[in-house]
Amino acid sequence: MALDILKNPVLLIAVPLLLAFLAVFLKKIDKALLWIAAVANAASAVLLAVVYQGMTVVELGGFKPPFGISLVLDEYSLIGVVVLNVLFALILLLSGKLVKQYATVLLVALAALNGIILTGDLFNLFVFLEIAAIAAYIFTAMDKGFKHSFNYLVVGTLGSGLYLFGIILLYNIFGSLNMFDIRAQLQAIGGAGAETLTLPLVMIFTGLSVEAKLMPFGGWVKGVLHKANSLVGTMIVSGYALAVLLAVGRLMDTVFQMTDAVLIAFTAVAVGTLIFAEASAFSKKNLREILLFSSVAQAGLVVLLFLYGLTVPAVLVLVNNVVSKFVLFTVAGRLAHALETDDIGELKGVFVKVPLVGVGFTVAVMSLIGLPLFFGFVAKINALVGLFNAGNVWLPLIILVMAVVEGAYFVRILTTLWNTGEEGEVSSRDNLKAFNLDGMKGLGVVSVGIAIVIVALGILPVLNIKQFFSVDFMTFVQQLLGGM
Amino acid sequence: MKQVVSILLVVALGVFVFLALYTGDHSPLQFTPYGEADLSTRVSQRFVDKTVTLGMGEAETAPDAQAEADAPAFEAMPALVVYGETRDAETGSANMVTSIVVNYRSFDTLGEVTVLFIAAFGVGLLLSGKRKRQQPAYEPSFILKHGARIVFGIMVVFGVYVFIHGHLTPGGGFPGGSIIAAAILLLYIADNEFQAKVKTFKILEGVAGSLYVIAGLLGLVIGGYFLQNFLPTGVVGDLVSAGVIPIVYILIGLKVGSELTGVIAGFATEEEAE
Amino acid sequence: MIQYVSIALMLVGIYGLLTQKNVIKLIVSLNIFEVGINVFIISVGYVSGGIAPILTSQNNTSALLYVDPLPQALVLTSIVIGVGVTALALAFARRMHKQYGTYNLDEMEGE
Repeated sequence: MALDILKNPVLLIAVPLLLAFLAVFLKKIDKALLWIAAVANAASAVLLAVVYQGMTVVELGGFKPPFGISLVLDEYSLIGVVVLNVLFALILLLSGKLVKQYATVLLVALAALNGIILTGDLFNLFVFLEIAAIAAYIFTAMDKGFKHSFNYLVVGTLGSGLYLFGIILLYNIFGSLNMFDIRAQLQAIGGAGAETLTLPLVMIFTGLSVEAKLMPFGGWVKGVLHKANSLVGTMIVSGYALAVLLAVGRLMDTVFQMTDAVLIAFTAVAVGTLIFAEASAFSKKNLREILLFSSVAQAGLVVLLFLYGLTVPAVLVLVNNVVSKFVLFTVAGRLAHALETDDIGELKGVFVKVPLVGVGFTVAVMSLIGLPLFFGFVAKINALVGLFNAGNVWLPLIILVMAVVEGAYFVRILTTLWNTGEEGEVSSRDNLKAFNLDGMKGLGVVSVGIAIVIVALGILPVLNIKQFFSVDFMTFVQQLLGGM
Repeated sequence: MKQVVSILLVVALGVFVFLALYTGDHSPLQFTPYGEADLSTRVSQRFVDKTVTLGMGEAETAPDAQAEADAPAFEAMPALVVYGETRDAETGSANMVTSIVVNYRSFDTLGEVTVLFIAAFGVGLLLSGKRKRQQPAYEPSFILKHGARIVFGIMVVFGVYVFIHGHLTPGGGFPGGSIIAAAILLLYIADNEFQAKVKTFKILEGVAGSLYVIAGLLGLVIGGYFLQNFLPTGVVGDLVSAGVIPIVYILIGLKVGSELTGVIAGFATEEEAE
Repeated sequence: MIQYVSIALMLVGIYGLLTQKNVIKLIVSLNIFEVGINVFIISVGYVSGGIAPILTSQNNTSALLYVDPLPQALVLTSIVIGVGVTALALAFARRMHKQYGTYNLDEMEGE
């Protein structure tokens, strides 16, 4: 009986929330409470994955949806919950010293991110998005970047307001606020009625694209992240990106019934984000700026895949991006903190001094670009094959071109950071000489650990082609060659 | 130039919204025009009739003779909820909006309480340090100084009345807590040296919030669902009714009052000159 | 009629957010936008001839014609969220003033 209670996904939200309320007046132990919550959540998520038997709907208050609020734990949200909680625990492990007085904020953010992934109710999603956003406004101001956090606050609140407007219009039409109930009603009328949904869907998409970092609404990203430390940066590009994009995917799967014009408009936004962000990343010289633009581009790619119904490839690309960015941004933040710069030219040869970190970083980059033998390759192939099967030729082409651009600037980073150059150049940087290697050891170990996981996930599918690919790879190659 | 572009953008958006909402007939899905909402097509009908849990369960269990004999006949009309007479109704609250806020959609209210909590915490983080009062440009007048002491008591009692009677009258925890915070703001205005004890309010806030989540967890342990109403709901319209709803609203009222007081204290003070 | 007014308020708020440079005016525009949204939400629940959804000794059965209580519950949450965000924004404004000496976003130099 007790185990049944422990298996309830609500605890992923309720426990951090309870500890947050306690932490506000038990100030002395707030960091300990944060650690307890992170570990408990990670363990609970893994437990849920182990005992998972099929879709579970948790009715809150005992009221059946659509009359009550429900949390939905299916494969989709299970992956999200496991990755989110494990990553949060790892973020805390590597950047725990930076928490200072922000323990309560991080506890609330953890609860809210879990809520975003799990919820099946539109208004509940709005509330959790607001909680997570307010926590983000607060902790992004950690290093006195008030102007940028204020900008983020204004744009974020505008986006949430538009999202709320959209879901109220949906309530007006359907009489319900439950995502799955609306999907059932849409299926009952057989896919008609998409014109009426144009206004609500445009509002919802615009509202969510602020938080999901799509351009042109994602202008806040540069200001907030270009000087972020490793705690804040990874929370936003890994934790928040994962939760918000999974929510976008959930909505697109259930509520979005688009006319052709609307689909083209949304595709244009996603593709525009991809192209603009990759081009911006290519032209930047600061490591954190490059990484943040790469995150924006990946967000555009994931939204594009969700738009065309390719849920599995989208989740694969998203998880790959989030895990890689976690490693990359932690390293970038720590380097910037230790050396007080993140200009690539000035970081020349730094990986030679900290090879473990360098190996982890390199593997993460290769996975992000999508080289074979890494997990990113599996994800990207699934995505491209899915788009081809949907009859689309231009989109895979654009994605491939952008992947080449991405590869170019990442390889440039890698060669610079591993490059020793002449002996004189490296040792003339006094900072590098006084570089504290001890703090980096833990980072090195964790990065290499994740690197091993990435490589394992990349190699396994090659051994089991039919099982892991959405299309039989051999038949696909034959079709491609035959079609030419 | 920028203003012209903005005006054009806003007007275009307005035209788009108006066209989408008020013109055209795009069946089969329609925007319900203003004032013509039909509750029976919406989830709210079951909230008004308090019949959400009625008729739950027969769809799950495989029908067999014994179950058919035991289960309530669901052709029967659900009984009307009558003020002062219906006993042990679902939620038991006479105020239907309260029953939604604190019972049917209690999880949203927990989220809302968290929003206010984290916002007040953020204000506390941003405006912290050793505090002394900012001195305004005026001295409080005689009426303000002495009248405030009288009005303060009345305001606090009124605030407490509002959140205790949340299930019977309009209002509830949030307006009640705000009224209490406004009473404390009055004290700040009336006296240039007044400072509220922020530490006490923080403890009150934390305790109230934790008790709300603990009430939810108790619902999980006792009834099997998080935030389930596990106390008996009494007669609709009595002060002691509606199960756990008045308790939750009292907790919310105290929490909101403490949080807003903390925010006011943060803004009314400034750092001591070193 | 009230829906037109609420949409107009939302548009005024958006216009303010696009053009204003003073931090306090931005916060006011944000509030106007939120008021517009909240009034729109309530208006979605209106039933002509309906009464307030509270059982009292006069309106004592649940068979009468009530307005929709659900949007009212949603607005309650939305108002509180708006208050929280406004409080946080004002705290930011105060810290920015201390850091840069001005309330005008254009005059705040630094990165």
